[in-house]
Amino acid sequence: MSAIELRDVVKTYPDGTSAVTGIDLTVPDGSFTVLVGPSGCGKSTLLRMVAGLEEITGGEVRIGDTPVNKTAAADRNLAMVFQNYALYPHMTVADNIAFGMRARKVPKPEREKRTREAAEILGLTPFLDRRPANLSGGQRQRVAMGRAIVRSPEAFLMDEPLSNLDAKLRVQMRAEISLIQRRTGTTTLYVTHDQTEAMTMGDQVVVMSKGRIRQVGSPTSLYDAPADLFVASFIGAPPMNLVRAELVRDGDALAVALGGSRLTVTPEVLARHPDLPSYAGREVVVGIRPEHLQDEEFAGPGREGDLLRAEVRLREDLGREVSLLVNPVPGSSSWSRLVLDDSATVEDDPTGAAATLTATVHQRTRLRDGDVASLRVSLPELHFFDPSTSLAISGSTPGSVPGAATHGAEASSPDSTTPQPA
Amino acid sequence: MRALTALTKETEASVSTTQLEKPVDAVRGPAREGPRSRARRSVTDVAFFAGRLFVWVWVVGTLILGLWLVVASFKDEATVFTSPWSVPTSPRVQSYVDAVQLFNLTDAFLNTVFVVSVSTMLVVAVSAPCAYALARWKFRGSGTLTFVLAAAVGVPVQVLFVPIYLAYSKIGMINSLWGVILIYVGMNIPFTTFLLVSFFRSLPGELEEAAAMDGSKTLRTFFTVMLPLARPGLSTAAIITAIGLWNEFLIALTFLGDDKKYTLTIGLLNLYGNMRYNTNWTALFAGVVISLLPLLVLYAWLSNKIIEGLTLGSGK
Repeated sequence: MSAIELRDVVKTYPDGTSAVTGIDLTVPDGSFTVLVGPSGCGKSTLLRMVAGLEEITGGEVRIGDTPVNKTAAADRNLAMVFQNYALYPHMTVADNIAFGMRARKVPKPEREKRTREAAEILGLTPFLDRRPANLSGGQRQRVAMGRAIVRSPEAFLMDEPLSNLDAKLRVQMRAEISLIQRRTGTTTLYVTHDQTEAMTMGDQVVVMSKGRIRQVGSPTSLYDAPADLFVASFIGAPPMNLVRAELVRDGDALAVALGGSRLTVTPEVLARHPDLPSYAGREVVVGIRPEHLQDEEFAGPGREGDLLRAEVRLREDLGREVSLLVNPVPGSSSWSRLVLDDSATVEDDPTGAAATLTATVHQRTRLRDGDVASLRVSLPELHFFDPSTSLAISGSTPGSVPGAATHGAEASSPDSTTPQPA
Repeated sequence: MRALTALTKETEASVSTTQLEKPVDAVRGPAREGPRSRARRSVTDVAFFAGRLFVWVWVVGTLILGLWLVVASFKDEATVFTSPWSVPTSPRVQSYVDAVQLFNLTDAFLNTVFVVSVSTMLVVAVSAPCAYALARWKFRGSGTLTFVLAAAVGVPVQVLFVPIYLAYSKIGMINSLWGVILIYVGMNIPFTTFLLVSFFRSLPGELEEAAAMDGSKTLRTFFTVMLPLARPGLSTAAIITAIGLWNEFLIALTFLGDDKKYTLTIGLLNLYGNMRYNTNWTALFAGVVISLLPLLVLYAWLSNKIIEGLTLGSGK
């Protein structure tokens, strides 16, 4: 097992299109690192460069202490799980699992012993003599895992391994992969477009878009302190509400004018966004997660200036909670929200729902469609972004590279990037 | 390169004729939309019907001829002419005995089996790795190699007779089965390679990547992963080659002089030449049946594989 280091890695295709640029990343030894981003963000390309299946245009990839730029995939001693499993259709399950050991000239008794062990772990023992065509999707996925864990590779590379499974199986396999990784303690680099997978599986999550790393950190740190608008809207489901609002002085304090309401900026928020006072009188982007908008009736004691009045447009009962889509109260000033579009850009909502916010409230709420709701905002959980740079407003100067914000975010989180014990 | 694309188009065309049902369904599917498409549908229906009729007429004609040949080979010479359409009451095998004994068809048969099987194996053995390399990698000279192979498909083998004959006579390869095998292999490699290139291209590249991640080097990947997967393609190539060589006549006639070395096609020619003098026609029919039978059996046995191979090569 080894750490994986990427230094200023660049991939440019012969036709000039650039897939990834300036990637600096450390995958600590034994960690479960997830690369997540929308399709086309370069995460798979990055994984394939680590694997050796894609040539590295610039920069350096190190596995352990060895630069591997010029090392062939077969000699990197990594194991990979492919999206379509890529099982050898003409071989039995046992032969599929043992193929890598055969290629590496592991003696036969050892080979058979380890195949049996891997099959045992994955519950594949009854299927060892079957061909992949006679297996279900979940079983094929397990064989692909078996092929990886049966050797002792430097690292596991996984390229969207769960995306071909149905929703229920995906949740189950997600847990199984996490357990196997914890059990073996093997460094794992995992690619997915699904932020839920990233958050649940990774102990380090790397958010990418447009060929660049946006933020690196633990799931909690990404959730609690997104470095820019992209990360803010990509991580979390339902996504964070992002609205344009004016930051105003309210006596000694700062407040956000939203619709007819004023939300006070608390010291906790100022600690995370020390530069905020310099934005007074200007437009900022405020981020409020849906669960931080609560029905006042169930929200417990509040404080000064934490109420947002809004009209309920649609109530969705989810059982465990209720999702409310709310608009500004008629007659008061409106607001306009930002959304993540298909090209991974956060911009003003082009649809008619430009003023709709989502609130995830208590399951017993009595609010109905058309009611004017009084929503209590968890003031310490407000996020502030600079609309011109899209970056979180922080201590660093506006317009600095995302990496700077990244490290701040990492440092602020107690549980970032600690490798899992083997 | 243009020749290459033309060639792949040609193979695609032959593929679509092997699965006649599908394209027609595809045309019929979206055609339920309006008067114009209905008109178009009736046109394609007529074309389809005409095509089907043509194929059936062809099949029935061939079957009747073949059956007549087999039946006639069991008659005696007189009844073949007096009642050509009758079925013999007591089948006679004397014609077969004559064909085999008088005209030495046993040697010819064994020679053909030897020449065809050795040539076919060599053709596939050379073409498969060559096709794999051309299908998967761009290397220095791969373009030239493709061009040379494409050009070689277009060279009529007859123009090579004189130079090859001169060269062979210098090194004593005239009248040698191995000499003929060498020519057979050479003239079949280009087409077989192209057939297999398109086949290897259709195989998923992810399997090679998986093998590479498993630590397998190119050669091992080729022999343990790609070659087994290419089996339908290889059998298709082998059968097409074997059929062509089984029926090959001109090269055998030119380069084999000794009647101990004759192949079946030349054996039949001799048989035919003799028939004109002693009018043992039924022996000639028997000889033709003997030469046809192995190929028919081979084809019947492997025809599913051939169709599977051709359609797999075209991708899904």
